[in-house]
Amino acid sequence: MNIPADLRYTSSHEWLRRETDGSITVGITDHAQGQLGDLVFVELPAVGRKLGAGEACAVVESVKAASDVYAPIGGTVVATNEAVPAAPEKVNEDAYAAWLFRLRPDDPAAMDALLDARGYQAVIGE
Amino acid sequence: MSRSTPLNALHRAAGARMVDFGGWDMPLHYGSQLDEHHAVRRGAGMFDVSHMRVVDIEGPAARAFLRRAIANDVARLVEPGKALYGCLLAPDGGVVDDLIVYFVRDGVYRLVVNAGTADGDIAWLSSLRDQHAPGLAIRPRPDLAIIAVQGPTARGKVWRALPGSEAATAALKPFSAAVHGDCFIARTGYTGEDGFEIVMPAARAEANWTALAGAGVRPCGLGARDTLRLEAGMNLYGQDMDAKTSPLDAGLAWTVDLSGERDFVGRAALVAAGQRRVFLGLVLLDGGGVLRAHQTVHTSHGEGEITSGTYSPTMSRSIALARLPIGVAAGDPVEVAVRDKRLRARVVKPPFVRAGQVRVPLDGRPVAIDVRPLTADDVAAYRALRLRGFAEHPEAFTSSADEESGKPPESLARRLARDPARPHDAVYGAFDGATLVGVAGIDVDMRAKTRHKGHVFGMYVASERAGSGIGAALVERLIAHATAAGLRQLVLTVTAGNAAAERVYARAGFVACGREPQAVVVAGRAHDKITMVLFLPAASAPRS
Repeated sequence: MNIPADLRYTSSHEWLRRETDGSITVGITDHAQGQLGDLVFVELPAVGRKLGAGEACAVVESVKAASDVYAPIGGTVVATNEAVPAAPEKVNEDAYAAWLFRLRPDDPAAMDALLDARGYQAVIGE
Repeated sequence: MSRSTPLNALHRAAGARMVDFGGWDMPLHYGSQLDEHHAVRRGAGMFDVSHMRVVDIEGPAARAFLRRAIANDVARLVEPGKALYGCLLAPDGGVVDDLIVYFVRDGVYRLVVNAGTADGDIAWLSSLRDQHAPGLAIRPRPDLAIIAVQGPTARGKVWRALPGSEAATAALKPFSAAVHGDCFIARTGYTGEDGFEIVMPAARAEANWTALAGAGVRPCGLGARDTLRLEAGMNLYGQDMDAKTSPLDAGLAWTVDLSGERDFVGRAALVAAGQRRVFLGLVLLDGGGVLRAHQTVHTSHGEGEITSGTYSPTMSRSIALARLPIGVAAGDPVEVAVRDKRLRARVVKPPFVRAGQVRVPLDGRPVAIDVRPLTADDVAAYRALRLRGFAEHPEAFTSSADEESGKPPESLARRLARDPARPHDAVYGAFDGATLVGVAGIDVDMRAKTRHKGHVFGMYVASERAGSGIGAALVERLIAHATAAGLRQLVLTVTAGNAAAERVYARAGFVACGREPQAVVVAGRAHDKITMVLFLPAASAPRS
């Protein structure tokens, strides 16, 4: 199972990465894409939208099922990866390259309270 | 505690993602469900369907017993090996299960039933047996495995993998089976592609699976099986119909044989209830999501519900099967509630895909055809199209161009205006954008002795649009109109030799029932007319 050590994670299968400008990039994990199977539809939040921590803000649908993506921390959407709605299979190919959206966090330290790679591994039991 | 098939170890060794299906531990996919889907449409794929249960019915009373137990009539099976799809019904008309029954030989039939319902089916058949055919053997066959090999190149690959099978099955027609050594090979499937379903001793399953893989057949999981069957417009038990659904409301009227007096379980309830819903396909026109089971469909005749929905890998858009109010027909625009949005979809007649070809109009190509009743405002376009039809096909119409062009337009306008004394008369037009490209009418003589039947008249499709499904869409709409009006039958005549028209009607279920010799004379030459009839399932009055 691919769980990069330099990322943070949620138990709802999002990953987070802090960029040099302080923004936070969010995607879904390799485990999540594997559970969903071939993705065929992705809907991303609008740039500028304010999100509360835990708020459903994106949708990923595979052939088999629809799933919400939750904002891991509170913040404002500053960018979205438009390549993904155009070609959802990119998430299946590399879940950590195919990021979904970037947040400017309300609290820059909030991310540090989330799971690290070992904690996420324990959550998915692998 | 999941049960496993004889191929379970091979699936796991191949890295399959396993899921529970009907109490069985089954492969969902071996990596990519989409790639597996395409492999079946373009080449050959195989499915372990050993979770489906084989039940042999043996004894002199087998035929009479199955004629009572199954809503389709096994008396149609006269040649050994022939297969029939049908439903087991409960006395209240609900569907206990759907199955395929094979006529093996006199006194021996083989049923293949669904995994999750098999135990219930056997209990139900046994209780019927105790009542009506004591002594009949009902033998579940857990000693057998089934591999379905499907796709345009499937048969050739089976012949390569299983030596000697070609001689046994080369002449096999669709929906027939033959015995080859310890294999029972049927030309049936659940994908809309050609291929075989091979029943074999469980001990032979691994060797045959390995030989098929060696011949280039790609292992496919239940995920691809579901998208393939949905594209093929085939029902899934538990989703598209169940014990609370009448087969008439699940698009399965064609599997219910109401001809003659045969007394099958559920007949009385079906006849009493009639048809209450239509079962049709949807194609999503907007982006914004994927159609899924239980989403609400908003139509101009009220609300309906999606029973199966998915993403179609062949069409690259979302499709669904849906139970909709009577009156809804192919071509209608509808909206589907997906999360917090209403997405536009179009009603189509399944199958969506057969033999690798998309069979329904997608938005854009060809332009979706709108079929709607004509009004007095359409009289000019209607008259122009009729005159074209008469001129191009004088033998096909009883009216002639000269007579028609001599009439004032008001006489046609009267036909398009609603006449309260003739509430079921209508003329439908097929429009491509604003252009009228096809017409067909229905009239009902409202006298007490004749108001059970409608006459189809004046069907014409602009010659440059012939063969694009417009005729079928018009016929479909007339059938929906007649069903909603409570008619029991539709009658029409077609000039002998007009094979294209006859085919359109036959595909819709019309059967020839008579021939009038020299019915019309055109330019000194006499033409016969063939009468065709379609019996409609009884419909209750549409709600609201």
